[in-house]
Amino acid sequence: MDQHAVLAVGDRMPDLSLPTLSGGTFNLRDCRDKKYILYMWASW
Amino acid sequence: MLSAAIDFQGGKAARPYVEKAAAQFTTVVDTENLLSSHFGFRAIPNMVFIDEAGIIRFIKFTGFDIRHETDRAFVTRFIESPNVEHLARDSEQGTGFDDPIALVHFQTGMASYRRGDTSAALDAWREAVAMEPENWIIRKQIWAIAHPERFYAGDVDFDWQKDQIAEGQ
Repeated sequence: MDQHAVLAVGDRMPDLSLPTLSGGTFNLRDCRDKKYILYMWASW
Repeated sequence: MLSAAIDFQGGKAARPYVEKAAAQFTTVVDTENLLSSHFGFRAIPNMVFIDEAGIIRFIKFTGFDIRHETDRAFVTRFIESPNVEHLARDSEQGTGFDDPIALVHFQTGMASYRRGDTSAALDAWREAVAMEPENWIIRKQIWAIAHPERFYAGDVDFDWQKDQIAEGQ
């Protein structure tokens, strides 16, 4: 895990690719061109 | 809408919830606590609003629940407002860990877990939690992996979780 500045309001979404449940990947940088709500949760 | 399941166990733990909800939006799976590291939260659920330019406009850490009127109102304002600048920030800041040694324990645990050595992973994560007991991401993830019957055999057993907290687990 890289140490980096913590994101704050006004920052651009990070260049961070994560696997999707459907087997692809999604880069958070692609949260644009429409409004996004990122909801972070867990099964536990 | 983008959903992010934070689960060291991977998609298999999250998938039943997504399927039950018949979610039409994308769900990503964060198995390495990367989002916690980037956003600096120690518990979930969390919500981030992002505008059309890809800029973060609002962060709400912990306790976000769309069933709550206040949270629903925030979402509505964000969706309807042409200008989201007025959305105040309501968040705590911090990195995923204060103590770099706790971070090392966490990473050691992740490496063990990936190797299939769950016992060693749990030991390392417990070291991390011992140093930072308020890190609920790690703490609850330990519970889920050590006691899957409390999480994945029907409903999540919140009474059991309360007992764990009371016992200092």
